[in-house]
Amino acid sequence: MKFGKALAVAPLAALALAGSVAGTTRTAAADDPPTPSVSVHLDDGANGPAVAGAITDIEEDNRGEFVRQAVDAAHREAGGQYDVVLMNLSQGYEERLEGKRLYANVRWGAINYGLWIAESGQFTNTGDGGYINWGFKGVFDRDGNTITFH
Amino acid sequence: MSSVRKRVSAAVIGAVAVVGVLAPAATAAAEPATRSAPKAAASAQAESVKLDVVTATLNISNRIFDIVVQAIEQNQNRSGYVKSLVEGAFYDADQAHNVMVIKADHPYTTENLENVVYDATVHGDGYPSFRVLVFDSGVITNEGDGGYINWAFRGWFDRSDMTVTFHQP
Repeated sequence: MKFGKALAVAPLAALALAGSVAGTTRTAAADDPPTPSVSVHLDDGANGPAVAGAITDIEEDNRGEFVRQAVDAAHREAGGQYDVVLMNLSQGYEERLEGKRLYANVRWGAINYGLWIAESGQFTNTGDGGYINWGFKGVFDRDGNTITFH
Repeated sequence: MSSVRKRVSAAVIGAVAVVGVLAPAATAAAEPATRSAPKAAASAQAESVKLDVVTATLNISNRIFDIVVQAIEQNQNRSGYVKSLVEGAFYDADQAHNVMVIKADHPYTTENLENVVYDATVHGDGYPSFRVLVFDSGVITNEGDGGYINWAFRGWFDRSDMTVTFHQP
């Protein structure tokens, strides 16, 4: 870290100098979709390994589409009878779920999502409600950014 | 080779905090040299990344660009990382204990911590080190910045400003 600070001036100077590059091509590796990683921290009959495996297998470079597919996969692999919430943890949220069956940290690129699978309860997104930040599936009523599952 | 690569990324990450601060101004001024963010790095904030190249006999701009974008994204998602530590530890501890995650070198005090069942410092790549405390009760006072990039906690507590008094479930 000391090293990083000492050298910080050099790239800044490089960034500040003028002259842009046009028409550069990007490598295939840089365009590969992020590989999701999943760590399950609670699994009470929600088929955790299958949920984790299905999400890890998603190859998607569109973040909103990843959220949608991950929620669908979790709902399906957990048996279809539970409620599912996927939330960007860097946003604000209030989790008041009941009968929790699964919790997992899901990382996609630099984003840390929390995945909850539960029987009922409420979940409120107090941050940005865009679909790149959260998704949910199950039997619910929605009031603004508060979801009430039954 | 590997030591060279480490040096480069450490330096760029060191610069990112400053770049992040400067970025809004650069966007507002609509610098013509500003490149739009690539699809793989789709993020509103990342669009203000700017790479001004003087010499590119060896054209590694895309890779350097990726490193900067990745570091900025990582920095922007630090609160998500902190909360992922809290949530993970909370469920790993069977939802039966309080969890505090606080930046290891942050100014803070702990008093009367009882039944500490886990105490570790984690070193995540690209992030500062954080202390993860799992315990039954006690008082923790944050004497520095109270943003989620520096601390997060969950459990059973009363909070008074930056002092959190935890009690048993």
